[in-house]
Amino acid sequence: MSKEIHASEDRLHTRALIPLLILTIVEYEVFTFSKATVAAAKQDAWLSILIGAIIGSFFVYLFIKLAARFPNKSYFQYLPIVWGKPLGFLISNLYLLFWLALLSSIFYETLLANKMLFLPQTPTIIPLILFALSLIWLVSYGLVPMIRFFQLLLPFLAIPLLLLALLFTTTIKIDRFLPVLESGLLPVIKGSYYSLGAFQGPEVLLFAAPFFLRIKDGVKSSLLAYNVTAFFGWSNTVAAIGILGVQNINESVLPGIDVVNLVEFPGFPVERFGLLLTLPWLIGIYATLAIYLYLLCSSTFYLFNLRPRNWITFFITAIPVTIAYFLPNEAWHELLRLYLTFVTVPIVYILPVMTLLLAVIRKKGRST
Amino acid sequence: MRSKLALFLILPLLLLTPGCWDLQDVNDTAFVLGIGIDSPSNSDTAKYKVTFEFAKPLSTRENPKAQSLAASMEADSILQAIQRMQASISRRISLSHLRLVAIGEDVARTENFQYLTNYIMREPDMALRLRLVFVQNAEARQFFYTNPRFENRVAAEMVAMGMLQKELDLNRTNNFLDFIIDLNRTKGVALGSRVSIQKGENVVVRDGAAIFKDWKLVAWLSADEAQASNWLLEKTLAVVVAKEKENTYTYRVRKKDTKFKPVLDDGKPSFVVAVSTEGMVMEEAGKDIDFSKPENLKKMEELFNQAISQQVKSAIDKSQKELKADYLGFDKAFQKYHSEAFEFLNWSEIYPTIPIQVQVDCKIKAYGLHK
Repeated sequence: MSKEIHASEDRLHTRALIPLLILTIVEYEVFTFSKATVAAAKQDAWLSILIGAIIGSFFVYLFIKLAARFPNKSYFQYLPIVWGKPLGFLISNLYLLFWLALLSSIFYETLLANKMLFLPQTPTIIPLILFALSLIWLVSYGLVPMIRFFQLLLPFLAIPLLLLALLFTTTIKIDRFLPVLESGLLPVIKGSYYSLGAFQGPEVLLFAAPFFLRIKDGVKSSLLAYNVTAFFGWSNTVAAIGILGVQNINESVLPGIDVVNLVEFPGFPVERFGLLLTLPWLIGIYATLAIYLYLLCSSTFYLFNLRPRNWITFFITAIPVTIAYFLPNEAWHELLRLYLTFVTVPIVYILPVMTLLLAVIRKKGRST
Repeated sequence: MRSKLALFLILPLLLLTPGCWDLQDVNDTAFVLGIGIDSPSNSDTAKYKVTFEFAKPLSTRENPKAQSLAASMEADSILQAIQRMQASISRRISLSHLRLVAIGEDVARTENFQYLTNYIMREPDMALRLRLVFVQNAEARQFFYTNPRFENRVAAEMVAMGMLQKELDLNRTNNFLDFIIDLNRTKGVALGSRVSIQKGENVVVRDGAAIFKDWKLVAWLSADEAQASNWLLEKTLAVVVAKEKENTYTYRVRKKDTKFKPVLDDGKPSFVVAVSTEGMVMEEAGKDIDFSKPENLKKMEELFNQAISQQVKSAIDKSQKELKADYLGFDKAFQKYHSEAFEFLNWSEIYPTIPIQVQVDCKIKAYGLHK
């Protein structure tokens, strides 16, 4: 895997950024959306997501600019060049911790969904281990095969989600969005922060850049991918507010699932549309886990000068799996998610932009 | 060689794919279609009497129809009742196809609705897209022993009625979740669906409404009262009967729009309710009027204006003066325009005294195929 950080022979077209970004960003929180956004902005959460998407798009544009300054290097390779060695090492380790916490959270959500919805009778450790083993297998092939695999998976994620967005329109009640801006603009801005915090994943651009032919041409693809995920998040939030109502969202553990099960289509009085969510959910979670596990493993090998070994990958994977398995209860997980949402903006968005600023000031990398 | 070894090690995992733990065979499952909740026969030994309507599929050779089976169990909680019921049947109970929740009058009057349905909100097996009905003058248990007229099961009949009755203005048609949302918004005030059992034929009639205040059932609305309330609540299209001396005229509304216009004057709220309708005169009995003359239509419009206005006013009076509970959604309308002022008002206290003016603008666009 560490070899691939320097890889240049098998490069991808920037179009491949679309499946990479969509499948990395779409996970549990985009499906069930950020409850923190709804808690903050209430019925105006849809507005928060739109504002968050505009701000996020600007950040994604800057990420491409940063990656284009160091087209053959991964983020961790140029952090010490820009920030100096000690600070670069510290920031890199901060990312490792962030990914570890995020992976633990997503593994826990997988466990929770299995326990409550898909496999309630099966011992939770069994699907967790099977998931982890298949992830290790995929990660061992490296980033380029993973992205090619994602290209194949993308339609199976996008089509059911678009179909659901259409179905939602039949059941949404407009009066649940009223009054607009009930408590002014401040809660909406606060909601935008949480909305941005729910979209972990754009930072993968900075690590995947060396595997793309001309990353500086990737602006359109990246913005398209980011905004497609923002649309999924927005449509799910609009549906949840319009169908479930703000108070029920705040009280629900899996509001995204509740909303889909509440969709009523004329002529189909008893059908449960929740099943439409199963395939995108599995693909979204699996792809996000795979990407973050890859980033965690490859970065650990690189930062600590380790030779890539399968047993080390097994060991690294075991850490978030163990944390997820032994997390005492859902309340602890909700707290972990809230903290993650809160720190996402500085870690995922602000730090790379500061790196770009510093690179420009210190004249590091190619000027674009 | 290594990849072959890996394949050899992975192959046994295929044994796990059938998922032995979560195997759910339809033939071994008892699907619950409806749940009824009542007060127990002895409140010292249990808190609820829960009635289950199970789908009971029969083989096509025996009987082409699939029928249902109703059974009751008393317990201190719904989940405990399910557990106890499981002890008396040979199939695993599944709530994944639950479509109807019926609440008996007795328990609805005495128990906080939040507690009654707490389990339903938590159970991941259930979709919240449920129909909710309150059974007047009877137990929910009796409701499951009625004879459905068209469907094979009571729950299926209610689901089908619910789909159709979105266009009927004689009843409240909100489902389980809408009812909960209303209750939460108003801290315990809402209007739910009423059903009653016609004794002779033992069939269910779904009309009228159940009024909740402080999370408990406090009164019923008849079909006519529900129709009056629906001018303010639902998008259903009404049939209005107006009488003038010995003559009776019937107007079918094709288009309806009701606007709440809240006014805040010196901290005191008031409302103007503006109802506008378009429709056709479809029936007349008594003096024959020539509808092709515009002046006659104008007179008719005035007559229906009065009839509709009277209905709306009677609905408001019932809510303000008699029940002192805002189940008509004035709070929502006020909050929409004056959200800051709303926070400082004790709505339940001031609602009965709020002046509400009614304006009706009824238009007759046609008179069927006969002048």
